[in-house]
Amino acid sequence: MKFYDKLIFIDEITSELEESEDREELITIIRETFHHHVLDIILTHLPRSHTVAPLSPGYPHPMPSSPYTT
Amino acid sequence: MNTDLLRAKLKLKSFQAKNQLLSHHPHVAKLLAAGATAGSLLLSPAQPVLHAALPSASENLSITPFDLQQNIRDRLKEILPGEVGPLTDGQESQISGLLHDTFGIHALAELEGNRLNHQFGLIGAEQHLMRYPGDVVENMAPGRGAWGYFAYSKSLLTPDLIAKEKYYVAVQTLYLPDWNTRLPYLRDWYKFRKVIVLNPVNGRADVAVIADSGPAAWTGKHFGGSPEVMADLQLNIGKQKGPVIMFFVDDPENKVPLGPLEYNLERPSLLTGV
Repeated sequence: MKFYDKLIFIDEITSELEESEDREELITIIRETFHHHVLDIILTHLPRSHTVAPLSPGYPHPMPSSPYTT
Repeated sequence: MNTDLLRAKLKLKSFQAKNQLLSHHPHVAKLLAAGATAGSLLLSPAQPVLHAALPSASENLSITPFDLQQNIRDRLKEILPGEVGPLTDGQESQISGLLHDTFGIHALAELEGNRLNHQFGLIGAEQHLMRYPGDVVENMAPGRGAWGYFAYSKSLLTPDLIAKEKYYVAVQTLYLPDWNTRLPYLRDWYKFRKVIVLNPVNGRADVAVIADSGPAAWTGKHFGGSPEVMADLQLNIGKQKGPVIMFFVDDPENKVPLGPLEYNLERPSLLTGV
């Protein structure tokens, strides 16, 4: 259960997968991909002071070139 | 769509997403590697952090995993002897080159002065290993693996350790000539040592870690594979035994992901047609 499950409906994508013995594995890969995209977007937009500090002494500010900042 | 092709595409997308996240926010790597819980940054990754080089686009796969498997299978036929047994230095070198050309990994029969008694041998099916005290899963061995529990409790079980148990192999460390005389060093060196295990019959390959010792010599087998490894190699049917190549993976930066190898990690353009 992810915190964004009520905002992003991954089931709309995974429901397109046909029944097969590999279906669960494919769903896991899809969920991981979404998870990393979501985290990237959130961390890019979230002010540094709002992230779970101290994450790292060298925590950089969001990159201006990020495709998610425009 | 072909399932293998779809899986390969999804994996590339997944790696791209992970790499993008880590390139924008490198501090997250520590949390992912440590298997941070949802309470810290709301993370619950299912796999360890890996940094396979990837292209910016991966829409058009021109070489499928099946193509790679067929290619390496055919080329191995020209290198390997007719039955499992010792390899010559020349054969080992050729196989290392082939593995690098095909998968973009550095795999060697001998690494840092260490080598297994067999590089081309028979693998048999193993059960799941107990990951922590009280762990219960289907098809699990009654005792712990040769290196003990993966974690001291369920709460300490990280995604990285879960993957290690999922993709593990057993090798016959007990029969190494210097095992007893160099036990402290070798025990640590072999623990979770990354290997590539490849089925030369179909070209399917997994990257796994050494997490158990065995099988006994009287079985006639030289290696053991976890249920997932055996399934990936398509050796989980019938006698659940077959010939494999087992080479160490030289991966000091932990860039090579565990699990099925279905693309070239150094030259993904081979897959994308870029």
